[in-house]
Amino acid sequence: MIVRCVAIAIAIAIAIAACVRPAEERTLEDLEVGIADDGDGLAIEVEEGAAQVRSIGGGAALLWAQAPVVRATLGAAADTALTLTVENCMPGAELSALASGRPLAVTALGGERPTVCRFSLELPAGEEVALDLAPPDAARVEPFRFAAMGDIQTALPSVGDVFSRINAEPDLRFVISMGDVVEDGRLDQYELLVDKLAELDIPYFSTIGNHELRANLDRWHELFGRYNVHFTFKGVAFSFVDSGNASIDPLVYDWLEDWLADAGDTVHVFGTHYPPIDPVGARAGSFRSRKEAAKLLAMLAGGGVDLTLYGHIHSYYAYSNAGIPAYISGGGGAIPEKLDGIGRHFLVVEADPPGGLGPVGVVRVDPE
Amino acid sequence: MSPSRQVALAVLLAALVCAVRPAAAERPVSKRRRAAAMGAAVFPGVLAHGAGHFVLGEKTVARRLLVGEGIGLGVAAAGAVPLALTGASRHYAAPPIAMVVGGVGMFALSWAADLYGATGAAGPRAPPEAAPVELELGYGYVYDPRFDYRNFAVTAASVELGWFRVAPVAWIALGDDNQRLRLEGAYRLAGDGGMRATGDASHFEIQAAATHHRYPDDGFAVETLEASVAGRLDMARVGDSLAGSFADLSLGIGSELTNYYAPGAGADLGEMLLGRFGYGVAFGCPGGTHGEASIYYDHRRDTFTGGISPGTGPGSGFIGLFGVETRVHLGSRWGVRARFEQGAARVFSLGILTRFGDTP
Repeated sequence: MIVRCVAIAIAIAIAIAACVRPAEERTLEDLEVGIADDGDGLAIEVEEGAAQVRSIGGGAALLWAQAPVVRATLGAAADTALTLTVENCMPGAELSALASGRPLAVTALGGERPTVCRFSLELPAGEEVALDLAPPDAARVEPFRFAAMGDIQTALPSVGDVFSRINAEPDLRFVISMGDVVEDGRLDQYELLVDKLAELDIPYFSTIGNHELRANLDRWHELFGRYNVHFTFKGVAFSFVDSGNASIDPLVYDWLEDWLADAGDTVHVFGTHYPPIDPVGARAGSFRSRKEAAKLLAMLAGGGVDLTLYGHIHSYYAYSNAGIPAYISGGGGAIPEKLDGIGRHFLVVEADPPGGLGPVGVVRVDPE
Repeated sequence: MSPSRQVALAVLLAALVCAVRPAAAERPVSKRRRAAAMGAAVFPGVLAHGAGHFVLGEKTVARRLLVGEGIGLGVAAAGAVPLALTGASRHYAAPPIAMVVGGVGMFALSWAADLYGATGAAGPRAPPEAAPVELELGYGYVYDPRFDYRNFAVTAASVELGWFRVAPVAWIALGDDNQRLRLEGAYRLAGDGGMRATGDASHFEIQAAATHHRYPDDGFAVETLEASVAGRLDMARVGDSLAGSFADLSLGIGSELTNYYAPGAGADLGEMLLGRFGYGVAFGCPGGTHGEASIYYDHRRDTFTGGISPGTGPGSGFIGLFGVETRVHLGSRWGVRARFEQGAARVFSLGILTRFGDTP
């Protein structure tokens, strides 16, 4: 009797149990980003899922870039005049195309705003065409600046104030976002987000936070692509991973291990939504497992990461974890932490490769 | 907590309750009324605690449970309001969060009590009394896909020294390099145990613990120091219909030092809030097969288990673990203990207990 009842209790406990790998499904979706065809012989595959293919067909392809440099292979069954549009691209990005090693003529058509790049090119039938979209200085290792921010959520209607201030900041190359860009993932919120991002003069590369999980996550996937983003720009590696469930999927740990190894001594910036450890420990706005948090930080420290950026907490914190400088910047406008004297803000990071990183500044959007 | 999870928890409690023998009823309750009481304890009982007892005609107990719910909600709200107003300000977060955890605990326990009492499972049973010395040897299984370890040897002991209790616990990984060594101590301020036998399971004590946990393969080790106040209420004090059950509640603070093995990484020092509440039932009779079973929530996220996935609700990132535990004593010497916890990981352990010395 007792054994039976305990067995029942344990079985029910397992039934009510939360999943130990809640992000598995969407992590696997990352592997599908950037792969598409029109069913009529026109196909594209973007390396590393660096861009989502929003549409393809009728002699046109529309992509959303999630990295400063986008490389892809294209193939067409018949000679095709293609118009390629890449949104969220680096301003001034140039496209080169090689078919079986020989350059193809590419015509830049310009875009309606700085972050829209449009080109036309002729795809020869049956040949694999390698595309490379990048700003001219992408491979030059030299100082540059980028912005970082997180946690827009309910402040999405007024985030234009933040974006205007970012636009006013000189020489920023792109914005890194630590997630929570929408409040609860409704379609109208994503539509508004896309409208607002159009106000930015530089691209906005983002992972997700917990708020994107509140509704149909396919909306994020279809619009922006990867949840876990990694790229290298001007000698600095960036790894932004999905911790929307206050945890990182085991497969992402495998990827991160590779990214850390590939980066080697390169300057490396890591970001994720949840701080592994909340600087205010009793509050615990952090990873759901302190052991996982320690594992991640040990991994980042061992991998030579130079900077960690987090969101989730709607304020600004500067501290260190595992000896790595750490910043929490949740100043996108979501319900703010009070009594901190910060308000809406974003970070400006001075990258100074190959030596390291310069100062990280905080730019306030609202008057003090 | 989602409605489906609330229902599942209710079913779980019912499953635990089925392990106890009902006492001879002082007042006969028809099957129909009993069923109505159990239904009422689920709904509207989840909103109005004591509804099950009200249907049974146990109005005094029903009122006490409703008051317990009110106190729980009040304390939780008193914590939640400043949290909301300050946006969980770094300056004032800890006390309000402790109030939320404690208040939610009170709320959950009064509901659990109504569910228990509505089943008619009450009886004059007490949880197993502590023995002067208890040893445990067992096996632990941890499923966390982020770590390589799975199987552990578990050894534990508990030694009563008057009002003091000392309890070392060791989890040693088999097939991986991971060891968790913990020393718990407690001083009983009031209630049963130690040199006293009051016949009432209620007690109140202060607890402290030190933990050393090594993760050499993952490049870090953690040292933890903590202190808590903990109490157990024999629910017979609330009403006869709750006899044979008990409620646990504890609150505390801890400090954690994480040492990283990577050169230059140093160490991080942090604090954590500790909070635990649980509801349990006793079964059997001392001398024969007897024991206790309980279901609990633990706010801590520094164990193998970690916290459950925060999901998408307002509790994102702030939730601890859920667990069930039972210990069964086969006479005065031998017994077994089983525990299952769900958080970021699933943790199961099963141990053989042996006890020495006379219970008080």
